Amino acid sequence: MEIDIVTKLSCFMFCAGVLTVLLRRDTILMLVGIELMLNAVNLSLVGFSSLHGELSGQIFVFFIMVVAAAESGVGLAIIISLFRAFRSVDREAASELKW
Amino acid sequence: MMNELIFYLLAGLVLGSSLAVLLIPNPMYATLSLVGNLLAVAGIYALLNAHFLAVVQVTVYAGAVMVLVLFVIMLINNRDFEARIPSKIYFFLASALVFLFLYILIPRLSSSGEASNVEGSVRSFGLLLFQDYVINFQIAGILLLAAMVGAIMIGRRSGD
Repeated sequence: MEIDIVTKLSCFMFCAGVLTVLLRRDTILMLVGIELMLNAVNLSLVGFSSLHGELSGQIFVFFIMVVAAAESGVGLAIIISLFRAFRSVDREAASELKW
Repeated sequence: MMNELIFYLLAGLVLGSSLAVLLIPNPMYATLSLVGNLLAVAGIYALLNAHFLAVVQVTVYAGAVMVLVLFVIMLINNRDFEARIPSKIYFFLASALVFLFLYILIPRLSSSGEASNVEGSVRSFGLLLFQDYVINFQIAGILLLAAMVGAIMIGRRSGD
């Protein structure tokens, strides 16, 4: 199996994640876009690990999963407290620091 | 041959579901299509002989983290999602930026090579993790504990 296709697939996934973060106005969906980007990076790491025959890349993917779980837990807590403060999850609602 | 066929099927699933995350207006369905994306990526991991990571992807990522996100979406339960279309200028600006990124990146990614048969089984993965990377493993545990305490502190009401 060609690794080329795996890296291109992960590139496409990363761009979809970037566009999700930039264009979606829902804060939860911005978090989902970040998960998509992290997952794209994991896919490319596993592809390169398989290309070079080196298992350390998969260890990196494991630690990225740990960090993603921690990030998503804290991010969801922030979103819930944002919803309590503004009664909305729209990112334009939290514009108190805008001048 | 069979592996190639399954790989292209999974690659199509990954492409479609990542576009669905971007384009479906309902947040619930967008998150569910992310779950489908994660499952398809787990299948690709299994095809690349990363068996342990495939299992972790299904149980931890698609199982635990995504269920947490879906819980929060159901808890918040906003019904005004159809009004949230970004303005056209932002849409074209962001799309142009991303296409520029792809245009620069794709020709430089031609690292052609076949997948080797490095075995990411539970045995070899665990031996490497607990021999060379044991300190990192402990630090990851501390990070998870800190994130848990932080999430509880941020998420609780200010009164209690």
